[in-house]
Amino acid sequence: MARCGCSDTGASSVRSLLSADNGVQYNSLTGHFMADISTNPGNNLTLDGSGKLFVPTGSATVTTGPGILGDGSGPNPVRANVAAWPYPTAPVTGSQGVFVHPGTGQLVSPPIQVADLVSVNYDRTYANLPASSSGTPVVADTFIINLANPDPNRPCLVFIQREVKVRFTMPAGSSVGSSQGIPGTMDETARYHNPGTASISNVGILTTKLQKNTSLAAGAVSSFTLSVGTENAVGAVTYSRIEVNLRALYIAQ
Amino acid sequence: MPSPDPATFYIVYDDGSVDVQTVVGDPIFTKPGRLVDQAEYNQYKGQLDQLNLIYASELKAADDQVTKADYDALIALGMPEATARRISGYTGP
Repeated sequence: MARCGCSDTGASSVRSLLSADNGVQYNSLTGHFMADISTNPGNNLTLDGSGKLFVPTGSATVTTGPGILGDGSGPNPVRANVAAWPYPTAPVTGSQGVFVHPGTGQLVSPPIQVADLVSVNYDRTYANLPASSSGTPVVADTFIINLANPDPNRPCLVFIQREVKVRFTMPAGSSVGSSQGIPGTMDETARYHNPGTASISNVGILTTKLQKNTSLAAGAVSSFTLSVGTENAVGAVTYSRIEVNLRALYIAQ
Repeated sequence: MPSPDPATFYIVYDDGSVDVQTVVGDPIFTKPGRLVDQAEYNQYKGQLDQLNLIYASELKAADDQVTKADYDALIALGMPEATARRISGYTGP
């Protein structure tokens, strides 16, 4: 006797009345209903070990835009679209990474490093002053360049180029030395002789030195002082003009 | 980030020297002095250049005396005038 109250026509008769619709499979021979799981590529719906419908964690597919690869499926995870590391050292050596801008939320790289070259030029004229006959440098005048690290984020190296030209008037047979350096540590960078029988005027002796100065902290300011002098004058040598160009090369690091 | 263009300043120092300074930002005073305009600078500069010219002229006059003495001595030895001028460097009358 059928429990449904209808006439007992057998299981096969009941099965013939049933059919599957979207998402369902039906086997009329066994009378089993099953989920109809798509076999299309990218599908993540599956059955777990107990036969229940299951989507593995992280397997929801997504559509990505420029700069992002993958669809979020198990074998094709979402990831940044990056180039291969092109440098000979390992990525951890000196790398600074990329960051999220706190205002825009965009990925940003570290600020670019700053390099700059600044200079100050002095062209001084004097009242035809006597050069020193001392065996050590005697300061004739002092010159300064103001320094300012142009990079607000990093310390920088400072290179100072010291270009000095002293103009002498020299009697016949005279000689003189031109000196430059940090105050207290000047040294004679050139010595000139007038071996002839006539005087010469406004002889220019130009010397240049390059030195690595102290590093500057991010955004820091400082100054560099250069002394220029004369020494070893033989005869009534005078100087009338000193031209100095101080250049500072900043390289942030 | 290029640096601003430098500006030129004219300075007269208390020690009597003058300066044409080309610098970015404010002028740098390494010793007491004051800013002046180019005309005033030229006035002081001309006075200083004159001192140098006077000294050079004095040296030149001394040179001329020596070369004239050399020339006269060579002539006194009977040397031809052209040779005496070349050896002594004398160019006077």
